[in-house]
Amino acid sequence: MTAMPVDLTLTLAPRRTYISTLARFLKRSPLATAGLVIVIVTVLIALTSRWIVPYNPITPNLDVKLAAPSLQHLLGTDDMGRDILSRILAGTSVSLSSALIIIAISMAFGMTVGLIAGYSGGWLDDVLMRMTDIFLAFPALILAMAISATLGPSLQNALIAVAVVWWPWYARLVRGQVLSVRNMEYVEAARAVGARPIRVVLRHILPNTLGPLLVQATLDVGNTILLTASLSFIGLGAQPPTPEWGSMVSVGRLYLLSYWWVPTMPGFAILFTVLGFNLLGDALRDFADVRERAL
Amino acid sequence: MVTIQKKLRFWGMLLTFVLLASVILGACAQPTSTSVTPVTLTIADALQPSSLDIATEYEAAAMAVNRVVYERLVRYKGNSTEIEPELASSWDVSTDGLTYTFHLRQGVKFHDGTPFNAEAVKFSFERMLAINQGPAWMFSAIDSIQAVDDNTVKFILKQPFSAFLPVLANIWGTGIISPTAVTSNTVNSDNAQAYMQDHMVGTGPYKFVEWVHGDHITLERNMDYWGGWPESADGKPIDKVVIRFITEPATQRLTLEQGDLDIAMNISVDDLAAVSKEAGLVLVEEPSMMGTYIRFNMTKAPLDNKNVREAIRYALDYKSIIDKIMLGHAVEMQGPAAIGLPGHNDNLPVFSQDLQKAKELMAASGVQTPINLEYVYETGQEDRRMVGELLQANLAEIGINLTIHTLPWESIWARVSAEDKSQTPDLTANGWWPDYADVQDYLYPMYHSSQWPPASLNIGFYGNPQVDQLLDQALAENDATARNAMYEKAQQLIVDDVASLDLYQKTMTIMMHDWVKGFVYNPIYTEAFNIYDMRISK
Repeated sequence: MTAMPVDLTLTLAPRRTYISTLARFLKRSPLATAGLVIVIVTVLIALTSRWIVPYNPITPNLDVKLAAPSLQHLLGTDDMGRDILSRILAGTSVSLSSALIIIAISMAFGMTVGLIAGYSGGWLDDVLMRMTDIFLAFPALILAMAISATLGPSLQNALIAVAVVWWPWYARLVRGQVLSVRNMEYVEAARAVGARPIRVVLRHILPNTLGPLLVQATLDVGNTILLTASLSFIGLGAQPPTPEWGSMVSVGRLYLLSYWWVPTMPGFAILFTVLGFNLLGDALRDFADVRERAL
Repeated sequence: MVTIQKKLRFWGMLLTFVLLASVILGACAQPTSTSVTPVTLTIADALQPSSLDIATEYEAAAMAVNRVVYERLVRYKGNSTEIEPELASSWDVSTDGLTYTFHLRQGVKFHDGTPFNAEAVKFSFERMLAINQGPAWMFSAIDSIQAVDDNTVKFILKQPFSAFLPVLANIWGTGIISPTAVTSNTVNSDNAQAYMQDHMVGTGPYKFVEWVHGDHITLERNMDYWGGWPESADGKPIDKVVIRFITEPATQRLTLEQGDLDIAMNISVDDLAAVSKEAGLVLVEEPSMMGTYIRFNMTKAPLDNKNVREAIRYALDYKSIIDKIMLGHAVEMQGPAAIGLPGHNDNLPVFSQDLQKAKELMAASGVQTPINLEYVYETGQEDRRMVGELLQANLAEIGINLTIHTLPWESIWARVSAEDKSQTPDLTANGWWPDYADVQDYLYPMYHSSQWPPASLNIGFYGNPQVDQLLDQALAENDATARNAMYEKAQQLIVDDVASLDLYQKTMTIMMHDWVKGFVYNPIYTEAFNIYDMRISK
């Protein structure tokens, strides 16, 4: 039979690049765009804060103590006369880098535990997952408070405390992913040709868990910023005069009635940043979900 | 549709029923409600005591209730540090200063009906000394107590103790407790410590009613009070006292403005200007003897070097602290003891910033700059945070990098009492409220070399044999002039040794409604009110 091959290319849509798909997705979802914009702005501020702050964020200037927002001080000044805008800008890098450190630590640890538990199965899986459950049994903030109170209040210890609270989520997420791909044919195949377990895990399983992990990490930036700020708010995190948003709100709450801008401005900074990362994280999750994207 | 109508009908009927019931019940209640509502005084305090036991309690938070529920043999008069009779009507002191004989007021009864007598005085003091906690150290001079007869009690001292009467007039450990209440509530020979934790049985003008932990303490008027309840043109005496524990100054302010509080003790200094402008609110501002200071860890380099300490002394901008941080609600300290206390040395220097001199002193010290120092203050003491932030900027000018840490008091205490003195912060901010009116109460616990932590509060580990000797001599000296000369000399030596940065004495700032009459502030009973003399006129 020498039938003419049907020209399928005509019936298919023009080939889409990854970028154009993303662009289409963002166009359809204004919230995702907003999230992306906030995140990009936040990261840019964090990288350049050293050069763009209008005033020194640390040195007191008591002559302009508690000044209301004005052209000189767009967001007003705090109880030591420091420009709040400068402190918020400088605090961006403190908050972002804290979040990144926490996520890096908890991801590294959680991923290792999850990979081992998911791939090995059996009693090792049980032991590791029960350990994870123990950590998840406590409310995150309470456990983080207990740990950072034990270690002594400092930003560094607050980061350790939050990371200790956070890794179990990654462990569970990774383990679930590993379980779903562990018996796939390509893993089977790798094993069949004699690849050692470590190679199978690192080359064939790990890359397939990264997608959901990335989504989770983006969502967690917001959450960890909030948790670190909460620890600083109750005095267990950043120490004065570090321009950390949570501690700025904490100190500022004393002035809420007469000088509302002192706690409100850093509060807005936390609000927008956390919102931005959450919107972006949600969008990434939707984007990664093929069923939704296929529309 | 039917179901919604049914629901509506049900709620309608319920509402009608509730309304009818309230009308009927209200009508029934009418006759009884004509009785007068009690005149209530509501006070907000940020701090809650951890116990109400007069034998162990040693916190400013317990002062307000202790002052009016318990009474002492003697007390500080009005707004002064003068001693006047309370439960004792008079007293004699032997010429060797070893025997104090008190003649007691007669016809006084405790709140539980037990008669007050010499045995009760002996019982109270012996209980406090046997429990030996909190304030007991102030009474270490007592050798024995004798109830001579029903109305006479004798205190025999081990050695002469010049501040004995001021100590007896202080709030802590001195209240006379009902012996019946203690003996009938003693479990496993605990001296009723468990029971007295949240009960009070004294002779004062107010009776303890309840303590709802974390919320409030209620007191009610003792109608049988021995002093009687004289009529006053100022207004009505107070029937009921509610002390509410409200931590946040902002919440205190809102509650005060709504009229749910009569007195707020902890309005932030930054709010005072705005609040005192409001109609009907009065700011009572009085000098206090509450000192705030920073101690140097004198055992550790580089602060073992006197030049470095002195450089820091001259680097600090005291004027900004008083004018801009405390907004004028404080005066700068003059030496290590509070201005206004008997025995204070009024000739000491009051320091101001001199960066040139500070730099010269740093150069003369021979210490290589930059150096790193740690400043620690108690969490929640926001004025000390601001002082730290200013000090950080000031010290940067003379090559010192200051890091600031805030810790709860227990952690600070653990670090200053550590065996290893290098654990102790280089600079520790602290405050001190005198228990009784004598500079001894400042100088001895904080500058005598026997009082290094954990013994007491010499948290900078200061030790000067000459100062020790002067303080020991003064303790036994009964002649006021000679004693004050010794104390003045000791204060001079402490200033010369640069043992501390003496910062400021906050003024006491209390906001109250103008219907509260007759409040008289006493600089020793700082957190307490003379509620018996106060009146409400609404």
